[in-house]
Amino acid sequence: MINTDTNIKLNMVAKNWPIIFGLIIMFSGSFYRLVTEIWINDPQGYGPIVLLLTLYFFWQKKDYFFQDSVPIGNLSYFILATGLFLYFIGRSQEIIHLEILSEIIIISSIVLNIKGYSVLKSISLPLIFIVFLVPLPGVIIDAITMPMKLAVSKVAESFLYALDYPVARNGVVIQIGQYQLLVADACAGMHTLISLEALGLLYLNLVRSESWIRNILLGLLIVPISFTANTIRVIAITLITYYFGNEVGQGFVHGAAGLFLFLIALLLIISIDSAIQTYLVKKNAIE
Amino acid sequence: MKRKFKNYLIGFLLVIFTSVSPFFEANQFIADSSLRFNLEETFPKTFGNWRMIESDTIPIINPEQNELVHKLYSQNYAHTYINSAGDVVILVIAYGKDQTKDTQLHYPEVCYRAQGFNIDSLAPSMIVTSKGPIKVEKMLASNSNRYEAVTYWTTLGNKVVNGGAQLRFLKLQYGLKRQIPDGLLFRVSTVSNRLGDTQHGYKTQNEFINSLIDHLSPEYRLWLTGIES
Repeated sequence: MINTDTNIKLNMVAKNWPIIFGLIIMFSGSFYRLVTEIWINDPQGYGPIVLLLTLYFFWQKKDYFFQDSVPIGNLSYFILATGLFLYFIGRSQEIIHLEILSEIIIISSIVLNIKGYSVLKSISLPLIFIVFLVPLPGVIIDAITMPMKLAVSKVAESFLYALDYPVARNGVVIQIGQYQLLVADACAGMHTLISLEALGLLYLNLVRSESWIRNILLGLLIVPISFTANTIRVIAITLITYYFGNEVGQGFVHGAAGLFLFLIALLLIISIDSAIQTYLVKKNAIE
Repeated sequence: MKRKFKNYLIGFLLVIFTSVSPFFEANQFIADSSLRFNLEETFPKTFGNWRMIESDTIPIINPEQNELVHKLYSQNYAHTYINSAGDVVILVIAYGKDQTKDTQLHYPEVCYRAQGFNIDSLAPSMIVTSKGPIKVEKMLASNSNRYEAVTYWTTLGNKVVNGGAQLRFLKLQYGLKRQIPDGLLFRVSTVSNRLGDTQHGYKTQNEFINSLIDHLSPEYRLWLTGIES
């Protein structure tokens, strides 16, 4: 049973104030660095949205903290030590990804120490969501997104060619009419795959299905959904440039394209989810 | 352990780590404590039987798309050289003072691809010079108009290291010594519209690099190739 008596809540905060104080100090620094170094350079501005969502998720689950629980002692100190060590490396070497990751580990160890494993499990979604506050490290970006961008270019070109447009492709450069469009901008980094993954997780959380199959399927399908959304975006940009010229096309790229991509992906996720649900219902009905 | 003591301990640890870690940040630029040169002013315009072509008639593929070049590189030296036999090479030296942040250099295989080339091959190799060997990467890039055979290497601080785990490890080493390493991309390429010219292209590049090494001062050589003499 969850005890929501306000006095008990305040009592708990008061008892743990040194920890809360320490966490605020540590996270303020990271937040400052996030804003001034990372988010400022992100043209699509997902960072603050992810932060708000993360805080919202934590707020949603706040009642779990007032449950009875079994704190874990020694193991949590070991995890805390690991987290602090990683924080030291991440902070001193100015590797923001390591800094943020270490903070997730530190929070986990503290939750384990005060409240135990079941509470940690219940806040695991917002904890993992913190990862999306930073863009993907360049290494991973280069490895995953380059092949994907190439594939997106191929499919977009084939589609337009099948519709009899004067289109040709060389690598990731699409030529349509007299215009040349560079599909991949690998040197500038790509955030959309990660943002879409975050969107998928968000959707999963909001919908909160009991069915394991549905959750896993949806999680896996994020990648093809992202691929499809990106392909549709490339086709849209290409056609807009073809009909309205370079300036309009480039304007779309830097303006509405991100939002457009998000909406397409959202639409796809919802459609596929409905399809999965319908299939599962049918399956259960037959059985 | 009493709960209250535990709380104070954890809070204390958090504050300590937050306040002390910044003091271990790297703040010494290797560029400031080593001999570096202004390429446009001092890099040799003639050496051996090579000379620089003042007007560039061959389009040079920039290491990056144009907006990025100025952001990433403290110096970007891009010129064509010709020898007495009429062979032409494109030389690009892209140098960045801070290789630790997002101003670090990008690799040709990534940027050529991003500009529409296909990477036909990429493999590690070795150039043997009179002063010592240099570990290089040999790449072949192509698009509908041309084949570009490329020999390149990259440095971090005063060492040649071509990416991978080795690079990350070396960066960490510098970081733990609180040093910020600089680095450069040294890229020599030959262009042709025939695949059959590729082998001759690599030979030409080899010859160019060898001749250059012979004519550089020891400090210049150390900076550009990591070779100590």
